[in-house]
Amino acid sequence: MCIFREAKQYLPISLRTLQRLIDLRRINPSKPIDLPVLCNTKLFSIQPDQRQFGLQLVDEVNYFDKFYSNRTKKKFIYSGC
Amino acid sequence: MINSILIEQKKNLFIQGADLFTTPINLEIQWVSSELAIAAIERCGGVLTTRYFDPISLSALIDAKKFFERGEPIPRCDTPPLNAIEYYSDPKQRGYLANPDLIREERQSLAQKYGYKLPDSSKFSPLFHLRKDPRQIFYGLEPGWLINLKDQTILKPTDEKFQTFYHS
Repeated sequence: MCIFREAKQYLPISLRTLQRLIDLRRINPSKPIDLPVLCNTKLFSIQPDQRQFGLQLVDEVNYFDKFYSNRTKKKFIYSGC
Repeated sequence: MINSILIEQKKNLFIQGADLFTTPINLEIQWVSSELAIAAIERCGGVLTTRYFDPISLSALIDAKKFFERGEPIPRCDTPPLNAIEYYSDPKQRGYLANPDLIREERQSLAQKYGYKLPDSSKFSPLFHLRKDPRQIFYGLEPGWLINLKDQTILKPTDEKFQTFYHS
């Protein structure tokens, strides 16, 4: 329950997604990566009015299945993530 | 005995996909849920910082272009709320308010725990040592500045009152 509440506040981004974004050159690893850089990939829609305070880094891959809707998953798949 | 624990933990790194991550990066994120993720980033020489943004600066960061078009000065970031201040000043979580010396020690001890060697950080570019001020939300732009996208100019406040407000 606790994990769920936390995940509601911070959208999960896994290490695998991060590596994939770097491999596809959607983000430049030689420059500092912060929230605007990650948001400019248009893959994460953070809603501050829904008490979401940004992104959280997770190590599990199956977080992806738990917390993202089917539509977002499709977006990830089509963009190659 | 100790050796077997080390091997076990190395295996852990391997099983959970943390070894997939191979690029050194300078990452700033809002929350880290596991030690393993920190280890995976630092194993290849990366730097990780957890950083809090209040809702107003968050909405500016999410869509920076839209925010600059609105013609508002860059907000100064608020300090974290009381229940989060402990997290963001904890060197174990690589908080942005933590003491840099303690973070260096924690990096070492985490490297020992998972059995990897920290790469020499001096050979990386200076961008890897770049960190934001606790009040600053964009790299290279200070709070209080006004960005004009159309004329491509930056307007800075000159009044002392404003300067003390945005930097206090």
